[in-house]
Amino acid sequence: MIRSDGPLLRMRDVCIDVPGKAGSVRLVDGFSLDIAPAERVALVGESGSGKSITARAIMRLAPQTVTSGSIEFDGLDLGSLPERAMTRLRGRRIGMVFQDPMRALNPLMTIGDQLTESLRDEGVGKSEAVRRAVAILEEIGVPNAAQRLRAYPHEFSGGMRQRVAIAIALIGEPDLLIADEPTTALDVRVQRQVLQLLDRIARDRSLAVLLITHDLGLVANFVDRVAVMYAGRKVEDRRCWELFEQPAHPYTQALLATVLRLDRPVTRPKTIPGAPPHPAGRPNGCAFHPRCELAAPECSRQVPSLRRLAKGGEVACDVVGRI
Amino acid sequence: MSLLEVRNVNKSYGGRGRSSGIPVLRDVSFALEAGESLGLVGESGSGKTTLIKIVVGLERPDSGDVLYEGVERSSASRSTRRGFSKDVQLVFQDPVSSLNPRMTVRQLVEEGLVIHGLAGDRSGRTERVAEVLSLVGLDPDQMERLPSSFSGGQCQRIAIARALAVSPRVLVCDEAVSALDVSIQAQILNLLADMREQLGISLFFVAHDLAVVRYLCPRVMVMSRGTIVEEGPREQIFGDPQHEYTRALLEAVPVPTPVRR
Amino acid sequence: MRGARTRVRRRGKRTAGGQRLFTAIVIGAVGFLILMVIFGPIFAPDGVNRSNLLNAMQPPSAEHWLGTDEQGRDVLWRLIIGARPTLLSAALVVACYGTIGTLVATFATLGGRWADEFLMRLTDMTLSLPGMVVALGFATALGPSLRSAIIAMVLVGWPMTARLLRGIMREAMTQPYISGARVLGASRWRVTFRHVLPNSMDVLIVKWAADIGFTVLILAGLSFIGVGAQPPSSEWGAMVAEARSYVSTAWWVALAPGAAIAFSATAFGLLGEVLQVRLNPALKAR
Repeated sequence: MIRSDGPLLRMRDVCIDVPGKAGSVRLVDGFSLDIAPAERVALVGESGSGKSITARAIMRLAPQTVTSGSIEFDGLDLGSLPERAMTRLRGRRIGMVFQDPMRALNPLMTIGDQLTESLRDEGVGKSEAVRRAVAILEEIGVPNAAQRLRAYPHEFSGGMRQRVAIAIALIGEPDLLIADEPTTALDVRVQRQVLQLLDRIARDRSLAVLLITHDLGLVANFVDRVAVMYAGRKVEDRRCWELFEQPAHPYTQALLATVLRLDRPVTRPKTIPGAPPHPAGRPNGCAFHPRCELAAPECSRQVPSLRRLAKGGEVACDVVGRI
Repeated sequence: MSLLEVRNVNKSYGGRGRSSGIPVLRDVSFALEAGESLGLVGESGSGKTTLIKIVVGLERPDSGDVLYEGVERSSASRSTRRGFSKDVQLVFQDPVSSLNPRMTVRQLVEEGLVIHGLAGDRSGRTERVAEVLSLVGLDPDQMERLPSSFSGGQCQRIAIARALAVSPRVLVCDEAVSALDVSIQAQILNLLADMREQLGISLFFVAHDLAVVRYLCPRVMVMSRGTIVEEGPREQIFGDPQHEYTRALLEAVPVPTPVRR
Repeated sequence: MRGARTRVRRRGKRTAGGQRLFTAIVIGAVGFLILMVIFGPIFAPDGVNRSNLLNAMQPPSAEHWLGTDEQGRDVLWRLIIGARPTLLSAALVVACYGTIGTLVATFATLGGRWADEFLMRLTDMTLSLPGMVVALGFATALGPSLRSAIIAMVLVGWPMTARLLRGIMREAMTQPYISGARVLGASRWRVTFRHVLPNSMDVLIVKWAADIGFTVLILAGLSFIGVGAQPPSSEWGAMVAEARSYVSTAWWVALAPGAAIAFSATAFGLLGEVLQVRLNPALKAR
């Protein structure tokens, strides 16, 4: 049950550091994000952009320390929450699905035991827990649900395993689902099935979703909003269709231009020169400026702050704002 | 005569004694012409990895054969097979794990030259290494560094340089861009397209990403459960697919155009 | 606003500075032992092993820092010249069985299925023998001496290296860069020696460093029960053995070599850990 009004998830100026060889390395730098109840947000970025660490920090799964900033969920400050309360929150209020379902599931436990584990911990009776496990497996499209409860993860195909992982994340009826690259390890056709499933379930249950992905094409018809991360910072945060129609940040523009599309004629894709920086070697000022076509001298001097756009959304670029 | 031909190849795994095991490839045949770019699309478990291993000679087919310049590999002499292994090179999916982490860039790129006795002595080899490195867009001055000091995209360039150093005639690419960052994929795709054009080599490009295959390859094959279900020019495969499986694959690709809401 | 501090306790991990200090101490300890091996006998005064009964069983003093033993010999100097037989023979044992084990594993990898099968079964058989008992038997059969103890230790030591290395090499063979080298036309020998072996040695170097410490203990143990080095050798195990009969009156004579054994075993054991951190690219910060 959602208690507070206002955003379901509220992240403010979150910084995450890891100790490195020469002092600490900032993996996530001043990240803020709000997710309203039943809202779906995608967090898009390349490797090293800090997107997965951000997601894990919400669940307090990251081995890294949140150095400063706050993460609030439904009015609760997750930073100061005792570990026991946090454990209750995971699964019950916030569910999480990972990229590799084989590694997220315990290979030595039956699907049924893994599904009912969190319910049984809360004192739900065995028959009731089993009933709910069967119900959610059926909802998620696992055939012969009652019999499949006794099966082990390796007896399922990759797609089915991911469905089971989603079922486990949802059985506690959370308000927010964090999905970290949930379809990356799957084949195109299965990827689509799983995404359609997530779409239906999120709608049926008014579930808020935070989808972490590197694949812009994937998010287009699934989320309401897209936040783009680059080198540990949020550079753009827009309504989904607006982002695709008129990307504001040069990085987003370039990224969309490199995507090869089946619905356009065969053309040589544009490229972005260079490579995304390692967090320890983040360039001064705007982290994207060495690869940016529009870079101006001041881009290397100070980190551009996020500015609101007239038509909604935010962008962190001093150049595009001026034009 | 085709440059490379795969003729009626069958392969099963796990067979012992009388039992024939699980068939992975069933009667696969196709030909690759000199200078051509041929694409192969398939999902995991379709048998494309096994097919690649057979094409480059890492595995032997149960029956059928691979012909190079009309010569059957199974009956070729040792020296012919060596020539074959020089002429058909492979680029892997994950550039980081496909480079020996303890060898410098020079040693990596040079290895094929040493094995096949190409480019003369050490200074000749160094020259050739520098030449291919600049060809793939890397700074030859960095050749004494280890792969770990390069980014994923640069490592894939090193892997391509390593394959190109021995002047192969066929470059087989196994998901050569799918492990790379989105902003790097296009760089490597364009590099492969340029290399094919400049050097006149053939490209056998295997991937699960339909858009990538469509960009690089005028002729495309679709593989499912160990057989090639459809083959044709890309206009046909992507514009007017005949096989049900191809249609299902194409339909599943997410369209990056959201609906206003 | 309250700072959200999600502190996760870092279990058993040292800070960067702490790790550096730890490394320095371990390297220092091992370096000290090596210096003792090299220079000890050079600087030792003549007649360290000559008995001087008038001077027997002196407790530690300014003249004899660690006292003297029942024959009046200076315990500290005996300890210093004893470093050679003790540590050098341990290193020799590990070097010998390391080489044998590496060769066995390499030929198992190179030689195809039958060679692999044969060598690994042989390894298993040797591995299943109880090491200490075999060492005892061998040492007795060859006549108790430091040399027989060394031979015995080599004979029971190599299978662990062979088995471990074979497993690691098998794993390394599945790496894509191995297929890469084969596609390039590299021969079996080239693949094995250039690609597989260099990438498999990390774990073994760590194991061997720790093994030296372990071997010091076992060799000393063999000497102590009388099948290893014999008195008047100043091998530390033999020193303890000699001193045990009058430990109640002159405890320092037994304690000093005992402490030296413990110190060396610990130093080399920790050297293994230091090397592990240094050699493992995953633990090394980029």
